[in-house]
Amino acid sequence: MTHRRISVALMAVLGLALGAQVKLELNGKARLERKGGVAQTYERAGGSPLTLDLQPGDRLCVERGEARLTYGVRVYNLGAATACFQLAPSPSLWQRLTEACKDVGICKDEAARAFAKPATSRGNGDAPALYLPTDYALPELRLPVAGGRRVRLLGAGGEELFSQEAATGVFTLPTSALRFAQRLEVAGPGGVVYAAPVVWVALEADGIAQKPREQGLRLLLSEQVGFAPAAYSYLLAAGERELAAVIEAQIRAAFGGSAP
Amino acid sequence: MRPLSRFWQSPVARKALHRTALILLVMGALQLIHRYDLLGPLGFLVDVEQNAPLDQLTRVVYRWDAPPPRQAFPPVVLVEVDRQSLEALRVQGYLFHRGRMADLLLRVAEYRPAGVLVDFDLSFGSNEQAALSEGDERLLRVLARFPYPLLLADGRSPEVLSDAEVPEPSVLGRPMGRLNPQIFPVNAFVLYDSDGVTRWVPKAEPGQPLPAALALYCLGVGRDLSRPEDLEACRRLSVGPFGVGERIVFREIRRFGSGVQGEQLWKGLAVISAAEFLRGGLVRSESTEGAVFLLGRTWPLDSDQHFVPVRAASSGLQGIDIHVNALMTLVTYGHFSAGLNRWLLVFMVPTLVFVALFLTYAITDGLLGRSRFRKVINGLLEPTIIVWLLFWVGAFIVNRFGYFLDYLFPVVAMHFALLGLKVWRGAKGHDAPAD
Repeated sequence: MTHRRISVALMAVLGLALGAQVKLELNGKARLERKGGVAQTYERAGGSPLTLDLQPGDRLCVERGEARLTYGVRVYNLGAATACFQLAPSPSLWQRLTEACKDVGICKDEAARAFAKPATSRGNGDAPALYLPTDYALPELRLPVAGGRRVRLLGAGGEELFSQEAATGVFTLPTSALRFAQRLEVAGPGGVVYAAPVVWVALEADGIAQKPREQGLRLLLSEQVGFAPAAYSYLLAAGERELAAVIEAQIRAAFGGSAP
Repeated sequence: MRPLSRFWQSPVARKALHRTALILLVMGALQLIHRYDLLGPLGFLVDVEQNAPLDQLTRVVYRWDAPPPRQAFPPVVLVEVDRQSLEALRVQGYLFHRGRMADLLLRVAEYRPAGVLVDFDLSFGSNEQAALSEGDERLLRVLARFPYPLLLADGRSPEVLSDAEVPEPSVLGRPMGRLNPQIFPVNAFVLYDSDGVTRWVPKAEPGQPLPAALALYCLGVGRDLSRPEDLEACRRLSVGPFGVGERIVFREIRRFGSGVQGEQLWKGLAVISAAEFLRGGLVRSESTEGAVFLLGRTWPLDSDQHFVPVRAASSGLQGIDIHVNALMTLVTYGHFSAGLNRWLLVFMVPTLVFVALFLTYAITDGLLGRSRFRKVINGLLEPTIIVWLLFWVGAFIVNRFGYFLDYLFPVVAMHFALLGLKVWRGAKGHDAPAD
């Protein structure tokens, strides 16, 4: 008795999830997909209900006809509209432990890396603005976004100053056009995916002409993702390919964006 | 008998026993200080600080399965008006039409519920004008002949209630009591601590409506709220050791996408969206006959959100979720006045402390007796082991019994004891070997 109580208590503490029984009144054909790619097919025309043992993660779909599935106190009418029922995969012991560890505050979520500060203040919604230092010395700005996209620079009145389509996804924007641009738009096949103002920022400089590498590193240290294209261009010009590749991934994520 | 007496004579065992006694002494002293309020006005220092470790324990049990209820209780069904329901049941021009509420109540009545909590403010009609809208009229008709105990939020604030001239609680502008004797006003407010966090099942104040969770609990165990003696019994149930009810044990209320379903962490709880409930998503059989129903909304998110001491719900829990957690705490952990078997703890805690200390000293004094690193390892192991041991013991107790013992005291006691020991040793001016 004591043993049983202890083991019940232990199971309650460990949260071991066991399988569940569902009752299936089937009129047609149903397919049960179990973990590990195992599938079973059932075919009935009414009659006595089937009792199935489902494990967490198992999925039962009605392929033809309709079915009434009872799980605990819940009823699901499976048919054309909703064909499938799935038993929610329960989190593993390890997942629960790590989550509890995070809840208690011992474990931390993985910290973000460089350019992690969200640059939302001047952009539209969550999209970062394109920042350029006023002392930007290169003739072109390189902006890597996903291939097959179109980039446009718009002036104060909304007129198009520059437009480019690049199959490789790396755009080259002339600095002269950027000087007068107010907005930048990146459009995919489905419409505009990213739009943000172009902002020229006066960064304090010590008046000494610096090499592209130092300029790039300085912008990198600003940690503002809006400066990332400028930093990327400087680093490419300085031949720092490895460092540039790291930033490139972040630019693609931030500027190739999902929604404007 | 011989090996046992030799065991007690071993220096390691005696040291562990000595320390255990010290810890128990400090723990007992702190308990007395707390129990009889010996610190006077400074007592708040102890009370406030208690929240931090107890909140940690709340977080630990948040994702683990609850033990089965201590006594038979009907199933608890949360019917939530979530986003999908709002969209599916939307009547042109209304966020949530009162006629839909009438539909929900009619459907609930089919299960012959033991009690129903409607966590919507129905004090007044949807229109500001005196005339009731069509939906209001329908709802009023359903409410007037609802044959099962129905708990409605008493919209009047508790401050007003202490005044002599209090208007009666109203439903759709009508006096609640005269509409239907089966309708009872309840206090559906959650109780905040001074730091803005919800931790307690509210206490039932005399002359005020019962807290929602407590009233549902009473209905579930078969009390009849219309009888004064049952009402008084319910009221007495809420007088906890600290006079403010009991701490809520929070557990994640799991929600699944459409067509996906899993176990809830609370045993006996079922969560169903209002739209699915109206489509017949809840079994009608003996298993749901006489269930306890809660009707509430979880959308829009920001209109009824409250902070709770759970990190995973850092943006707050919905009010109805807090009521569910409070109810399930009462259901699962039996009654606060029933009392946990304290003798079990009086036996368990010292034994575990002793065993942990014994093992620690067996390592540091025995195995590493000659090592240069003894002192360092000793310093590292001792407090850490005790603090963590007590922490997990506490988590186990909370999970199993739902009782937040004055858990802070063991930990504080350990630190005090170690501090005292250090001072005492320092005064003696030598590093004591195993005493």
